[in-house]
Formats: sequence, structure tokens, C-alpha cells
Amino acid sequence: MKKVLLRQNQQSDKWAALGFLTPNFIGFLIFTSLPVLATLLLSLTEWDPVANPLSKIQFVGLANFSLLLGFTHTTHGWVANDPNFWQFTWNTLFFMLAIPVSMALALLLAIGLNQKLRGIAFFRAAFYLPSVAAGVGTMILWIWILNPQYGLINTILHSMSINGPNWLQDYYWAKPGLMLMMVSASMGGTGMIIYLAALQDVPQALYEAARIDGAGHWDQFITVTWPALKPATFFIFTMSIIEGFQGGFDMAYVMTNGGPDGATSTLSYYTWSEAFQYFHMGYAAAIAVVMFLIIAIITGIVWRYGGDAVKAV
Amino acid sequence: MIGIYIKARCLIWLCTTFIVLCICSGCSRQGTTAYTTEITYAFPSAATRDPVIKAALDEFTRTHPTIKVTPLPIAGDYYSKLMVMIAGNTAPDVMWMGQSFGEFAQRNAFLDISKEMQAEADSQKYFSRVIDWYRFDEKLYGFPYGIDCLLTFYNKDIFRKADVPFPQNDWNLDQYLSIAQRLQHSAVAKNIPGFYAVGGEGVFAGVFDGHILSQDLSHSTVNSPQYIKSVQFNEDLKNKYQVSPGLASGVVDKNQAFRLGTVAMVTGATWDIPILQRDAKDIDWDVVLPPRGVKRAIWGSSSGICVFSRTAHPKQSIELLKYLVSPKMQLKICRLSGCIPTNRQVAQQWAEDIKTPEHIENFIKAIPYLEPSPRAVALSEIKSKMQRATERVMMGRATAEDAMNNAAEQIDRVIKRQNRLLGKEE
Repeated sequence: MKKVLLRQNQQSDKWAALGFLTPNFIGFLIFTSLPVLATLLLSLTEWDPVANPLSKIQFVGLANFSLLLGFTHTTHGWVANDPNFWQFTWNTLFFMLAIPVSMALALLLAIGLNQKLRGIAFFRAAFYLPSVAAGVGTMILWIWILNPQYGLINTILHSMSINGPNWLQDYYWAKPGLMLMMVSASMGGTGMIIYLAALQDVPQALYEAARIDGAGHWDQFITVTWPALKPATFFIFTMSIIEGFQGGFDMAYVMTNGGPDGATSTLSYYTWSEAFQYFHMGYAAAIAVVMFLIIAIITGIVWRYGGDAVKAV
Repeated sequence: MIGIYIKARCLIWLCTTFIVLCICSGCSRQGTTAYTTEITYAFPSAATRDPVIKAALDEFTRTHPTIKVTPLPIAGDYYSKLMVMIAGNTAPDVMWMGQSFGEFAQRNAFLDISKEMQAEADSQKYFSRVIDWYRFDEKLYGFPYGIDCLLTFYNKDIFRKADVPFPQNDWNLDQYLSIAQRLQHSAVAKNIPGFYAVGGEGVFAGVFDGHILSQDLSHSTVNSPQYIKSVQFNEDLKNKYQVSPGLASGVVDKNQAFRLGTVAMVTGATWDIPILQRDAKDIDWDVVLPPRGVKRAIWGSSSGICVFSRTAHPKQSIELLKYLVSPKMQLKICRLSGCIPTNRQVAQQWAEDIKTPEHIENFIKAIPYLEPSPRAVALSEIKSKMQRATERVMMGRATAEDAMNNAAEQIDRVIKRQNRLLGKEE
């Protein structure tokens, strides 16, 4: 009798679970899975949606991928069919150098904000505030901060008798300029909040035991705090890698138009410009598919090795 | 008990007000909305243009009570956004169109208005060569109300301070350089920052007889000696002669610098006139034709109106087009938003009405020499390739010749690909 009741309960739980999952699943199917599938199919075609109806779409097989990833042998040696793709992939990777810096600063901030001080709630809100502010607003603010003549940074540099660079218009300084903005905008954001939550979960008994063993602040951090933060670090790092590959569009669009000479164009900006500026829908879809594969492979690698490290904690 | 009474009274008042408002709004809608057609008009948003266009559309609705026009000012990248609207089947019925006409016309975005506008198009009353910019395959797909062009704007106060005579319409590139150098020497001698002569990418191409594309638009000609010379001249102004602000100077917005009085000469456009009239009241400035090179050529564009090819209301849309390009509206719009009317008589009146700059008639004198951007289907992509190539030269990352050879190769590839997409491949 008990078994029958248990089975009935399990059955009703199953239906309830399905009931809760179905709306989300339908949404995921319509707004995520189908567009991904459509992108995959579109990447095998050539289509200008302004000039031609969907019925005039041309199937081109793997031609878009060959143009995107292929190399041709010329008198100057092997030349990329699409040098832009490789330049913009490099730019995307370069921008991701800001990730460890942002994470380190987020951790520092979180440690600072984890102290039991009067008015700490105000500081927590103040440091999180830039993440709530509109991204475009922050970027416009940074255009002025990086202005070579009147900007805050160059004014400070000038007061130290240093001639500041022409940040956003110089091929070599445009990327560091944008990275400064990325770090400042992201260090007080979600990463900091996750670290703060993780820090508050570290058992105080471990610190007490470490102190009894004669550990100083640094030793406590290395032996207690850092191992306890590994899952949070792993999560933030993985998410940042994914966001790093997908990101860069907004700042390139608002601040630099991808220039100078493509120095700040990223893969996402390239996808957008191919799709919505030049209307090469098939080619843009091919870039998106390659981006998807790169993200999947790198996330897999991070998961495989980083995940093991976290399990070992 | 009293509380409940007050709450009940408030509730009754609220309900009564709501019902009365509903009835009133219903009545007003029945009373005023006799529109039988609603159409949209898209145009690039600009502080000087928006109020003029909105007022014009209001007037149109008053004179055409059955047609309601919804203005759609588009900020930012107008052409890209318009393309996306067309691709998404949300295109406006009527749209402003300038130098990107070819990109849209070759994608069959416009309605043929040859028949409806034949009288105006054939009339000698208009600057016919500008009307021809809206022809494709011998059909008329739009009609311009205004002409835009780039002239040299100069700050007379700075010229006086530097003791340099004002430039004249018949000046040439050597004189341009010599004047720029004298201005610059004077600025350096007096320890004054600025006094630059700002050219602009591609501005000098025409005077060197350089063109981005061949006449039949089949291939790029930016690697021609003429075009390379023009790029080199622009680069020399910045880096060799240092009379134009290079990257190091940090002058980002040339118009702002001109308004602040730190730039002596700047390549300015017709649409800058109302802005300068408003913001540079303390500056004594004038305009002159750009210097002549191997020939006289001036970059030109236009403000025209086109009707969407798949509009549900072609008749009403053409009605609006005719209204917006009418001589009366030309004068109104051009006076406030900055463009030369396409009707010759109206253009004369426009020039007479404007007091600043003194030689406003130079804009009309420029019309016979105007050279528009090529009517290529991939113009925006070609322009972005050109921008990158010139940026490479300006930053010293490539010689003019290497950058232009590379750009020519890329542009040819773009043309080939676009032709394939449109099924025009040979």
C-alpha cells in the first residue's frame, strides 16, 4: 500500500516538475534553440534580406567557412582569405587579458567590503552602482575621460609632465584605453558580489584554527580564503571567458566604430557589421557559428581542467 | 466608520472620473480622426532638422485631412537602420534619401515615380544633374529638395591676425598649402595653439581626378596614381607640413574646433551653416570654393525623398513626396536645416535671405562642379574599406600606395561578392 502511495506521489511530482519546466523549455526552444539551428542553416547560404525574399536564398555549402577560415597561397606566401577575421579574433583575445585584472580587483574589493565596518552597506551599494548604470552612458563618460585634450586621464598625466596618448584614435592605445574602461566597469559588478557571498560562506572556525597555528593575514588568505573561493573563481572565470568572446560589440559601436584601422573590432562587432551593415547574412551566420564553436571548445577545456581543480578542494 | 465612508466616496469619484474621461476620449476620437490613411516618413534625426520636418508634416496633415503622417526621426546610422527596417518588413512609406541612394535602389527598395514627377524632372527650373542622381536604369526613384556640398569655411579673424589675405574662389592647391603654412607659422610665432587647416579624408580626391570606382562601378580605382596622390597630399598636410591636425594634436571634432575659433580653415558642409549661425555668433567667418587641382571638383550629395516600393499607400506617399519637394517647402526646410534648394529660383531666394556667411552664393556656384559618391550597391562597405585604408596611412602604418593597392583589392572583392548576391554576376 505504502509502495503504491509512494509511486503515486512520485508520479504527481513528475507531472508537477514537467509543468514547471514546460514554459521555460518552450521559451528556450523558440528563442534559443531554433535561432541557433537557423544560424547553422544560414551559415551554409548567401542571402541579402533587403534585396531578396527568403525564397531566393542561395545554398553555398561550406563556402562561407572556407572564406572565413581558409588561406590562399600567393606570391607573398600563405595569405588569409579574410584577414579581418584573424585580426578581430586577436583583438577579442587581447581584450580578454582584462579578465584576470578585473577578477583580482573584484576580489580585493570584496575582501574590503567584507569587513565589519560602520556604513559598509553604503560602500557595497556604491561599488555595485556602476554595474546598474546603463552601459552606453558609462561608455560616453569614458569617451570624455579618454579625450586626449580635455580628458581626466591625460589631464592627470599632464600634471605629471607626461604627454598622454590619443587614446581612442591611436592604433596601439585604443585597446588599452577600452580595457581600462572594461576593468573599471566590471570590477565592482557581479564578480565582486559573487566573491562577497563566497567570502561570507567561509567558516570562521577555519580562520580561528589558522590564527591558533600562528598564521598571519597573508597565510590565512593563502591557506583558508583562496581555497574556499576556488568554486567562485572558477564560475566567474568561466562566465567571463564566455562573455569575453561574445562581448566588445557595444563599446566598439559606441566608442570607436571598431577603429582605428580595426584595432577595437571584436568578433561580435564583426558579426553585427556583416549582418546589419552589409547584409551578408550567410557570412555573418558563419562567423557566429565559428564563435560558438570556439566558446564551446574553450569552455570545455576550462570545465575539464578547472572543474577538476575545484572538485579537489 | 468615517474612514470607510471616505474610501467609498473616493472610489465613487475615481470611477465617475474614469467613465467621464473614457466617454470624452471616445468622443474626441470620433470627432477628429477622420483619417483614411496613415503613412510614416523616416528621416535622419538632427537638432536643426527635426522641428522643421515635424512642422512641415503637421502642415501637410492640415492641408490633407485624410492622410495622417507619422514622423520617424532616426538617430545614429540612418542608412543601416533603414535597411534593417526594410529587411524586417517594417519600412516607412516615405523616406529621406541621400548619398546611399544606389544601395537602396539596386535592392529594389523604391517606387518608380518617373511618371508622377516627369514635369518637374524635365523642367529647367531645377538643377537637373542633381535630379539625375535619383535615376537608376533610366527610371526616377526619388526627387531631391536640397543639395549638400563641402566648401572651405574660414575664420576671417584668424586670417586678419595672421595678416594673410582671404582665400579667393580661383585659388589652387599650392595656394591652399601656402596659406595654411603662413597661418601655421603665425600661430607658432605667436604661441597660439591651433590655426589648422582641416581637410578631411577623400575631400581632395576629385581635384586630383581620383575616383573610388570606375564609371561603370565594375571595379575600384583607388590604386590609380591620381587617387594615391590625393591621399598622399592629405597625409602630407598632417604629417609633412603639419598644417592640418594629425593624430598627436588630439583635435577630434573639427567643427567644434572651428566654432571655438582654434581652426582657421575647415572643410564644412551645407548642413553646418545653421549650426554655425547658432553657435558661432562671435566668429567672423565666410565660405570659399575649395581649391582647384588638376580640375575643379567638389564633393556633393543631396537630400531627397523616395517612396518605399512595397508601400500599401503609394498614392498618398507620392502626395507627401510632392509636398516635401515643393518650392515652398524647399525654402523652409533648406533655410533651417542647411541645404541648397534644388529649384533654381528658390535657391536664389535662399541665398538672398541668408546674411551669414557673406558669400553664401558660393554654394550655388559650386553646383556645376559637384561629384557625388558612387551609386554603388555596396557603398557603405566600400567606404569602410576606404576609411581603414586612409587611417592606416594617417597612422604611418602603410604608405599611401600600399594602403590603396590593398583597399582596391578588397573593394573589388566586395563588388564581386555583391554582384553575385544580386545575381548580376557575369
